Amino acid sequence: DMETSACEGDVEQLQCEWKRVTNPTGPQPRPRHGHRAVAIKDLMVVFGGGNEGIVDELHVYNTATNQWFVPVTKGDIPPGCAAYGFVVDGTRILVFGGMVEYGKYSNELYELQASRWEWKRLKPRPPKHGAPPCPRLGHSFTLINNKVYLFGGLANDSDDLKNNIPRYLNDLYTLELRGNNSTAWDLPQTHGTSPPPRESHTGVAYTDKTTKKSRLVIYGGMSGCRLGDLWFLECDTMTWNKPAVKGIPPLPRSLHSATLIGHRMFVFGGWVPLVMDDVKVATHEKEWKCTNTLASLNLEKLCWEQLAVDTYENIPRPRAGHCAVGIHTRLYVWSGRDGYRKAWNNQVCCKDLWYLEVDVPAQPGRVQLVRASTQSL
Amino acid sequence: TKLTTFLRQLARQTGRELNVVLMDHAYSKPGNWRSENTYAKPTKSLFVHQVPPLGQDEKDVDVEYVEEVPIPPYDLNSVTISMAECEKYIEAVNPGEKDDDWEEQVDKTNWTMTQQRVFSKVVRALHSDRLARLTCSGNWNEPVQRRVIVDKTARRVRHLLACYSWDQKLTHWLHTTLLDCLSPLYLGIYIDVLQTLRTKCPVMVDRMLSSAPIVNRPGLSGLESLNLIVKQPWDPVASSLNEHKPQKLPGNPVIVMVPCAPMNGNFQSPRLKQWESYFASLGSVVPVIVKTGPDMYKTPLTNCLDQMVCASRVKVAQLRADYPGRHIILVGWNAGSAIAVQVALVEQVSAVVCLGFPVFTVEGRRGEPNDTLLDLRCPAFFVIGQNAASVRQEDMEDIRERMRVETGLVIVGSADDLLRVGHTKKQREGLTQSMVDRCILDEVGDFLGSILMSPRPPPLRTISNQSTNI
Repeated sequence: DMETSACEGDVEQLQCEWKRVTNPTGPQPRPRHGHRAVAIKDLMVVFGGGNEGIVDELHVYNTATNQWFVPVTKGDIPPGCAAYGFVVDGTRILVFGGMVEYGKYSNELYELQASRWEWKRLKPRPPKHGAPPCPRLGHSFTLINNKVYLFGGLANDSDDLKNNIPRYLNDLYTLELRGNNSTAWDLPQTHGTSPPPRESHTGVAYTDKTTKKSRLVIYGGMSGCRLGDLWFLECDTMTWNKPAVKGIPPLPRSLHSATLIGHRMFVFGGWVPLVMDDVKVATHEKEWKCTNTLASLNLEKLCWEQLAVDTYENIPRPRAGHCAVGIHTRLYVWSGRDGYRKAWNNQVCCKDLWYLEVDVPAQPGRVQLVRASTQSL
Repeated sequence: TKLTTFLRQLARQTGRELNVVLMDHAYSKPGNWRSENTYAKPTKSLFVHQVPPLGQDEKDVDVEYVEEVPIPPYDLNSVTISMAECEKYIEAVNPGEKDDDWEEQVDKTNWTMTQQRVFSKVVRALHSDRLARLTCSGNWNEPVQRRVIVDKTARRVRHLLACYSWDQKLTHWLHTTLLDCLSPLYLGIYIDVLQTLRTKCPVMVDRMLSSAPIVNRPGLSGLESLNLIVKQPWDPVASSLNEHKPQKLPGNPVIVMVPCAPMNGNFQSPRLKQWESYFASLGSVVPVIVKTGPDMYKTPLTNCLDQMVCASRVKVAQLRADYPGRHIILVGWNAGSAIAVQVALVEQVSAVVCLGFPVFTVEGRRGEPNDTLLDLRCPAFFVIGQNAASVRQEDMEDIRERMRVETGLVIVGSADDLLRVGHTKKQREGLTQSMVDRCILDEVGDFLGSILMSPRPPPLRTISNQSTNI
């Protein structure tokens, strides 16, 4: 009983507030979708994505000075890519896969050393048993301790770039990062039921404070229809499980972002099924819209929490394929596509930068409530 | 909309757009987009038949997959009614007549050689029309197929009559004889043909129908109803094309139609006139008219060209004064597109649209290093026919690559210099010229729209510096 009420009965709603970043200085990156971002200290490093053409530019936003800049990179500069995997380990950034050309997916691995802004193409050792991962996009690529977990994505089984034969994946690879800068793929043996194939889902690393155990959290994605299921991979035993989560789950979605801040996974945006208000009209499974809803999964209490988003100011427009990073107590979100909206056949992308302040001081309302009840006593 | 989906389906652009995966991951445009030349937008093709690469035909034939039948964008019921109008009319005035062996009952005594030849040729055209009708009967796209068939028969008859210079005596005789002897079925076809011919050469057909023929058939003696039906041609897609007009361009730009030839009297090609009305749905159309006197044939060609360039420049200057701030777009057909480019070099305009742009000219090929075309400073959109005599796709691509402005290129499959699609292509793919024209117009609109909505930002430069303190 106590447990079921843990979420609903929680008087304390998490307070959040959206703020639009106005007038950043420096060269503004072109609006796009399918790009990714990682955070290094105060910096948000954005790469790739596309709209009307895949982007190969690297942009960095300094959250402390509100400034964009374009570092001069050297080394094996990779081609642009979209819907790829992007992780950071200290100042070492890894780029894996994604769409590199219309209909053409990659399985190449690049490293960007952010301290020198130097790119390097890596050739990881293939797994002992089995082939290295196939070219793909929309996979999750998550760093947990010294391993990157590659899960799922979408492969193209056609040789003809114009003729797409999609195949949803649910394979799991790990990429071990070794001390001497070498890397190796592994196809680990897993236990339990694997999540069904999907792409454009999210993967988040979470380490439990008390047990010190790490897990990979897979959420949502697309497999022909948008998914809303949640899966854990316990990294010590390599066991998949589908946790029982309390609270009200958000709508199934893909091309959203999921970002860990503290012990909460913040899910923002993406494509969600179009829900008709009229009950008589059955929800068409193949109709979707972009959303600007925000959800928070409390990974300590295993429940979807109620959020009190301060709508005092505006909130970001619905979008999908945006990027999001957590920097200190803030969730930064930049660009993404504006639904299927097109202006003269050109996909419209949002050009705005927002942050969500997660750690808002508690409202005095609760205190007043307490006081009121004391007075009535 | 339903119409655009259908046209896309026919234009072989589908599957892609409808594919969820590609909808979700639309990061790049299909085609030959290359980052080296970001100015040239990918070439698009409309109704170009893709030949599968060699070796692929060895693949197993999928016998289980049922190809999806596209849903025609027109109201099948009302179109079927207008399609059968001539037949219905004949049926109404000739109730209960038999169709068989009418040909043997024709009395050919006293016919001249010419008369015999003309008659048999017309009858042959009607025969093949009848066979073609039977072939497409029940087809999902029957109205469009029927339209294409009748157009072809009308062309054959027109060609035949033109061989005899539309001799009035002969055409009268032919018309009377046909009305006299054709069976109801064939009479219906004949009237369909007359109806189509009248849209092409109204004066000739009216003359052919003018004097009241002496007919044995009581129902046809009253000419008014026949004339009325001949004057009302039908088009299966016209109404749905009208219903779904393309969106107006942002800012309602002024579209200047640059002439491709001086106007001789009041005659203007119906096709160019129609295109003026198509463009009117995108913005305000202003035609440039260069009139010539009766001694037009004495003016040298260069003078004539100068006149057209001058008239267009004057018009653009005047429009800029009249509507300051409005975008001005030049549109030219064939030779007119070359003139439009010439004008765009010296006058400030937002874009040039070149329909059927000629690359091979009397003075040599366009795009040579000293060609001013390469100095163009405003975006240009080219539409060329796959079978055009004056341009080839490769040459156009090559020129585009060397232009320093945004350019677009659309190839219209099996089309000629004036972007007209041939009969075989129309029949095989179930097209009418109006549908092809609409697809071209949509592409023009997309290009102009994106140019007007987001003028190209200056190319991004990498900014060096910024100690990042990592």
